[in-house]
Amino acid sequence: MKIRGLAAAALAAAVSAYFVMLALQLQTVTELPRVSAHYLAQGPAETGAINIVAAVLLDYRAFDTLGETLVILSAAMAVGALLGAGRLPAPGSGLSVLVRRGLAFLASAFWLLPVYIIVHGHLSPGGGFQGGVGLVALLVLLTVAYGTGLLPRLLPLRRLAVMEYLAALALLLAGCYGLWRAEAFLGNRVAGLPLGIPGAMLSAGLIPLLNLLIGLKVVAGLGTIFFHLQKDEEPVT
Amino acid sequence: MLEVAFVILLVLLVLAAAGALWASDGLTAVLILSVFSVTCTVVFAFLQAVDVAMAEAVIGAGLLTAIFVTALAKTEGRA
Repeated sequence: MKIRGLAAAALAAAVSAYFVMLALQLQTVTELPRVSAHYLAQGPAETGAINIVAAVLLDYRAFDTLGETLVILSAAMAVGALLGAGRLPAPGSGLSVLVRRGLAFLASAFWLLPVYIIVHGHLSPGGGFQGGVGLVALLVLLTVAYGTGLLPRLLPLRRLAVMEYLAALALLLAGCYGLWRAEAFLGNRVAGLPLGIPGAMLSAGLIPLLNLLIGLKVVAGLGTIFFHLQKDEEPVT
Repeated sequence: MLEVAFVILLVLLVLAAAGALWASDGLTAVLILSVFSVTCTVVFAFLQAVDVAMAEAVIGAGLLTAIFVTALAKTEGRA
């Protein structure tokens, strides 16, 4: 046991030393790689998005982002396959009336922030993913305060799952527009989409639509995962 | 001055990670891990990676804590 502990400590020290050396090495780098420099210089002109992160995620590297959204889809499917047979626990009364009223008051305005983050994805930091998870966090808060009875009644799990599939399908279809124009899959400017004035609410071609769809998909996918996790095991018959 | 604040944040990050690793029970570890995530958010914001900071805040401090607490509640006494 003692030797194992020593070996683990030595391994941890070696890995830490490696990363410290890597960080020190990175500090000596003075110029950006050519691709990064190009993105920074040409991003707004080529994609219409003034948020360069959104430009990279949803235009230059949109295909990678599609893969990431499919990761959430497959995670939701796996959780559903494992826990889908259980039942949601009987609705509890949740927390005290003070907490519930206070949270309802907060939630009446809180949803604006994630929605703002999603629709301004091409203009300001954040995007579909961050905003979508923010909305799921709101669902989690409401579930904690009101018990598990409230949300499945308003937003049945089956409807969430359908929303997840439809959003994934819409993402693929939006990408196919580029193919239809005989250009790249998920193409934006190359597919002839109007970019508008960088910085305007309606600009950047495909990017706002992709942000919206990813937001919907993240709400549906992570919401499904969270609600499945609330379920009790199926009673053994 | 800013460098000092940044180093304090980094030290806090390591302390939070160690605290979560050696916490006495699962629930404490989960809560210390959310402190780790919040500190990480501030570090990312410091490094001007605001997009990553937002993702870390909502995932690490928000959703992950909720999922971990759920998992702990469901498996209590069966570990």
